Amino acid sequence: MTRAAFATFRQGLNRSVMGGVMVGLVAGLMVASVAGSYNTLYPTAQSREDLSIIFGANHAVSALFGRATSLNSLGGFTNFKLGTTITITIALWALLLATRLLRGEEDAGRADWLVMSDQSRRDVLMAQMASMVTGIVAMVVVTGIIVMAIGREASVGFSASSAWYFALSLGATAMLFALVGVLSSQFFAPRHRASRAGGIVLGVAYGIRMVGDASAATAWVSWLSPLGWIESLNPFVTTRPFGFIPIACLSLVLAAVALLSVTQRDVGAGFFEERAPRHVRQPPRNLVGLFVRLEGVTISSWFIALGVTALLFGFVAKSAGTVVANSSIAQVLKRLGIAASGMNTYLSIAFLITSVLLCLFATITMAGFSDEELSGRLDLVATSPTPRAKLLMQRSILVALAVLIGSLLAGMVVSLGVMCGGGHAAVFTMIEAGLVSASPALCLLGLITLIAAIRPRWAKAAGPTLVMASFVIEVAAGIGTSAHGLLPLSVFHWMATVPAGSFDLASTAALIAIGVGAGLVGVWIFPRRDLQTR
Amino acid sequence: MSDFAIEAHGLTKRFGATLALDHLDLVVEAGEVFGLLGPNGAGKTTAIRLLLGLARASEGSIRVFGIDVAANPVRAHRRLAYVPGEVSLWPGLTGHDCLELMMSLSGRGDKAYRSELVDRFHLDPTRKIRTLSKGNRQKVALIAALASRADLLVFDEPTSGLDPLMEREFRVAVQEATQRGQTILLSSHILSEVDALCSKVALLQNGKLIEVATLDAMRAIASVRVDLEFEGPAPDLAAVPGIKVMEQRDGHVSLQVSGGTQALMAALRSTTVTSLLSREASLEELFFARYGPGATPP
Repeated sequence: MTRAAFATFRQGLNRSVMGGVMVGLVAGLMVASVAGSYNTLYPTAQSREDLSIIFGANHAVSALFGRATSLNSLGGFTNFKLGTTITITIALWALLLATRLLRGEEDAGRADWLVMSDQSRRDVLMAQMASMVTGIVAMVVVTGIIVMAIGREASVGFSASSAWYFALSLGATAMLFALVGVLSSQFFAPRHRASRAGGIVLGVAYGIRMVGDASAATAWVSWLSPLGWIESLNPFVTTRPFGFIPIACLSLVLAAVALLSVTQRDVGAGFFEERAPRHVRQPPRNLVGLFVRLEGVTISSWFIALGVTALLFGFVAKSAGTVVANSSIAQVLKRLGIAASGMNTYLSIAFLITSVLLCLFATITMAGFSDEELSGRLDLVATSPTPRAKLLMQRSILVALAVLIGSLLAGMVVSLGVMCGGGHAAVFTMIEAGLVSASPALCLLGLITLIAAIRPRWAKAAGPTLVMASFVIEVAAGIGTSAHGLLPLSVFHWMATVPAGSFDLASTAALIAIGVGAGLVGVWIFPRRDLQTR
Repeated sequence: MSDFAIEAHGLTKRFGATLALDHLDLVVEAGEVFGLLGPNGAGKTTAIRLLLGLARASEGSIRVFGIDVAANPVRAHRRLAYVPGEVSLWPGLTGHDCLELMMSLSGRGDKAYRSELVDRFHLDPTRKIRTLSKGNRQKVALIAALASRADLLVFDEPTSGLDPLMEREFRVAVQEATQRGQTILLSSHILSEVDALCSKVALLQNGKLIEVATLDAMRAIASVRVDLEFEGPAPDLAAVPGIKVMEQRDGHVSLQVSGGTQALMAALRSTTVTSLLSREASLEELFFARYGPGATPP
């Protein structure tokens, strides 16, 4: 490796390895959380058998989350609970890492320096791919070590080989979708188009896998999708490595095409140029218009994701409610203050997860304000005759409105899903539950407004950190760990558990009051400090 | 109403232990084109951010047309428009979107003049910002500011990405603004631009104001460059008071003369001068005399 190639390799190494370690930690902890909760949630052979019968035979559930095999074993349960989620998460991470390292560097103009050095375009791409592979290896190692350590627990009992098989299956997923990102970076510019193209590939792969898993007659369709190959690896249940073969073959083809195509295009450009918009949109004429133009697509995507999730929650509510009623989940929920069983209990959990999504939406969208400030774009707006406090307040109010609309949508769609799944739930109660699920999001929105007003550099990371910390406390306390004492610190603990419980005006009002109070303090502070730029 | 577009008194800005601006006293008269000069890190951008109310002063005050910027930023912003050195716009918006948004937010502007400027600056307003070069993004911000017809235009390195033709167009637009009675504060590294546009300049160094004067006054107190050709070998003029020999070879001498030329003329009486060329210092020479190696503070 030449010095120039080594420098290129090192340039992407930090981001790849740091990302790989973080993703590995998350994957390992997710396995720990699911494996640790299995014995608590399903302590008897009968409850495990019920779980296996109800979900194993449900084609809708199979289509959404993958085939449910061996649900009466810890390995099968872990694979079913995590398989699809973790595969999609890791595929997205690898895809975004690849487009960041390749297309992102070209968009920023830094790739020009690499290409002008003593190395060919192909050498540069190979060095960049090597740094990505190193990050993926770091992810595999971290995941493998954590899962192996968890497996040693007597209550879990995963073998070392199954732990590493699982880690390798994640590595194969990451490798495949990183190469999808590498190839889409050759075809499309700028980065967001390359990422979107990769995302479409992932979406199509998921759709094909869904069709394959929807019935026994269409099972062969799964083999047309890379996600079907990944599913066939079936970690913790079997160690059939056949799925690695098509993954390795496709990876090699993608890498070869990327290496061949990199010299056939201009640096900074893709093969497919961005087309001019087909219709002229009205220019934004005020801050609300600007917010809608900047965040409209993102908000729509969140609403679609929220709607689909809510529909799925509603659709499986009837069968899931039966499982909940027959398991010790009811006891777990009792620890969290939810004293009910059956479908309403399940729906309360569904609305808790909806609330997590709303919190992530609210905090991430609000943190976009700090991005505007740090990029210097806010300077132009802040030198117009608009009070600076109004800039922050208006953003905060618009996000709050979006949260309320999202929560209303979630309530209505869950109700629709329940109806489509053959169950019955009062529409008003579902809407009430949806609106209640907005209260933690409004609380965190206020806190992020305050953080954005004080330290814009912290706002981006603070939102997801607060949401995940609250969620982890909630889950950990639920499965009976010592985290129970931390429950008051979780924002979700104060959310009323509709429809399992009744609407609690005091706790809902308290959450909203904290959010509004923090937001107002932020709005007061913001004009009293210097605007910052990167 | 104040006759001054900008009045800064004891303006100081500290970032932790770093003193970015040290008791700046500055007055810019309405209708003036005022240049702000200084090396990197001199405090020019800090002074501009305080003027715009984007940063708050540690000490002192700054007024725009008599309006205290810290107390009434919105009122001050009604009178000004700003172009930053590094223009950052919304990548997903077109140039037209940005121009329309900025005009709407400022609540004023001349649409006909904006269209004229779009043509003069050869800007394609239908293209998205992410597809524009640095120079074209700079044009969007310049057109938005110029078309706003604001009483005070604040330009921080406004032409750093423009080609020479567009730089010339910018100078024409600034002259038009001056004729309309607008005031302009121009921070720039392009000395020829400041030389061509500004009636008065302030020199900043290490956060301190070194000098404020008209260019003519600065030139008057600065040294004069004199090139002499002699019949035969050149005499030794190094000992003449107020004279610094820059270059000497055969019958040619280049000198810097400060404090009047009487002593030089007296020394030349006994020699045969075949050519004498004298010119006043350019802004570039003034700048290097203040900030260059071996600079002598005024």
